[in-house]
This record gives sequence, C-alpha cells and structure tokens, in this order.
Amino acid sequence: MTKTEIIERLRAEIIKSLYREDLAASGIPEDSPLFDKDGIGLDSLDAVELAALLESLYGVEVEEEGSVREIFATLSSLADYVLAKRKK
Amino acid sequence: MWSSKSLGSRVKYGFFRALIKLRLDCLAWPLLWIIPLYYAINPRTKARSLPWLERRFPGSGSFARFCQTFRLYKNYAFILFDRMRAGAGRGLPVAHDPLGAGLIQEALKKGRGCVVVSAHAGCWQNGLIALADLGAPVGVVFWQEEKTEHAFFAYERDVEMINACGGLEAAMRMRALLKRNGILCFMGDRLTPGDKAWAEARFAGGSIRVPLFPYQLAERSGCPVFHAAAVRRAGAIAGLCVAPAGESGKEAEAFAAWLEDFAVRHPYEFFNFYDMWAFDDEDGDN
Repeated sequence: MTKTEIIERLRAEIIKSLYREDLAASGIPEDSPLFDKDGIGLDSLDAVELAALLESLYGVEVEEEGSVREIFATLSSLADYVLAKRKK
Repeated sequence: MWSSKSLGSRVKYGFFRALIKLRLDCLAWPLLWIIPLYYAINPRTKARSLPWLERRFPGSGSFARFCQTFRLYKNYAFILFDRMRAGAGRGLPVAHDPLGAGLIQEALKKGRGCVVVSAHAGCWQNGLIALADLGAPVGVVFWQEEKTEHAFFAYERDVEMINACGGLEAAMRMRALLKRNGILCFMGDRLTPGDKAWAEARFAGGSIRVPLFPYQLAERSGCPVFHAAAVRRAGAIAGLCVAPAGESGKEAEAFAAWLEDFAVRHPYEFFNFYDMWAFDDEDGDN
C-alpha cells in the first residue's frame, strides 16, 4: 500500500463518511489543513470519525496521548502516520 | 460565561478548602448558613437566583421569595462544601438509587461505554464522580480556558477530567474512554464557547439551548446516552435520577423534559444562577 493510495482512500472517505460532498468537486489537497478554519474545517466529531476510519480501514489506533494535532493536520500527515504504524 | 465560581471569590474557596484540610469543618458549618443568608439579602446575588425562582414560583411575595432564595443558596453552599470535602479525600457518602444505576450498568454490558448528560442540579459533581463506583472508568468533560486548577478537580475516585478546550486531543481522550467501556459525562444545561451545535427546547416555560455534541459523539461511537443527576439528602448522594436520552433527533427535548421533571421535584437543587432563557447570540453562549 502506497501513501498515494492511502490519501486517495481517506479523501473519498472524508467526503462520504463525514458527509462533506461539498468538497467532492474541488477535492481535498493532500497538504491542505483539515481542521483549521483556513482549510477544510473539520471539527472534533469529525476527528472521532476519522480515528474510527483509520482503525477500521487500516487497523491503526490513534494514540490519545501525543501529537494528535500533527497526525490529523493534513491528508498527507494522516497517510504518513498510517504507514509508520503499519510498519511497527 | 457564568460558572459555579462566579458566585464566590477564590479567597472564599481557598478559605473553605483550608478549613477542610485542617479538619476544622465545624468552623465552616455556621458560615454555610450565614453566607447564603447574605446572598439572599444582597440584591446583586439575589437577582441571580430570580430567573429560575420566578419561573418555578411565580407570584411569590417578598418574604416567600427571600426564603426560596436562601434555601437555594444554602443547598448550593452545602453541595459545594461536600465537593470540596470529597476533593480533599474526606469521603463521598453514596446511597445510589439502584434502579438508576442499573440502567447504566445494563448499558455497559454491551461494551461500548455510555454517555451521561447531566446538569447543574443536585450534587452534580459528586454524583458524577461517584459513577466510578459502578466499576467503569469515568470521564468528566469540562470547559476551562485558563490553566486548570488541579486541586479543584482532585477527587478520591479515579476520574479522568477532560478539558474540552483540548481540541483534537480531548476528542481522542473521549473516544478512548468510550472504547474502554467508560462513562463519559457532559453538562447539558449550558453551552460553552466551544459548542457549535445546539437545539432549542422548552424548559420551565421558555426556550433553552441544549448542546448536541454529547449526542452526536454517542451516535458516532455507537453508545447509548443517559440523562442523570444526583440528589443530595443528609450529606449523602441519596439517589441517581437516570433516564435514557430517547429518540435520535429529539434528544434536546428529552433532556429539557427530564431536567424540568428533576427541577420541579427538587426546586432548591437547581443551580443555574443566570438567565438561561436569554441568549447572547454573539458567541452562541447562554
């Protein structure tokens, strides 16, 4: 599984599972902030949903301690986290 | 934003905490009657109790209103004192209503945790902390922008305090607690600056705003929601009034109906000392 594949899958899941069809046309750039007002504007509930997605899709558990904000910063950082955790 | 600390200065809290730590509770008892008396006389503090009392007891005369205000503040003083005692490790007497606790215990058997939405009513803080006696991890979500005064939240039960200001980290802690089959507690009678979603519901003859985050989180986590508050009698947590949140999409109405039932039955254990029926629409706070 490549980073690009993970990004593509997560992008599709955000649009579908988080009900963000408004982003379908423009897409979600892989380096666009997910949770900042300047970016996609996801919220805490979306983070819970994303964490559940990472677990169900990739078997990756997001640690409650640590740099959660960095992990969830962008699609790219999420994909990096998935790859790093799957290597372990 | 109004908070339970708005009515008492840090000096007052510090003074009572010092008495408890020195085991001089007997010196505090008279003050727990005298200070509420002063609050019932002082026009400024008396006014803070009126939004609720005027709705609950409309048309009361001035002496009756004075008595109502005094009873409300006296109960509040004792509940805060109980909490401080518990915080100092001086005991948390519990006599849980077995039926109420049973509803939560039954839900926990499914292994997905549960969300409890409570209110500033009864001995809410000690009541939530005492949920730890059910054998599940308990988390209490609160909102505090300033640096947390940890001593304020130090209880003798092992309870995780989650500051909602923590953003994504807080959300992950809430999720992790539910995954551990825990009980995650919120306050449903007050919006915080962090609440983006709420619904209006009828309560005591007017509309209040109920935060929807707890219900949305529960829905996404696949766990049930209960409305719960504890009643204080004779210095102990005498009963846990629990009700399921009910139908999806109508939780705010269910919460308001449950809270109204509690507040009508226990009018002197309802501690929102501000006009919760008036909204400040600049920040969504009420």
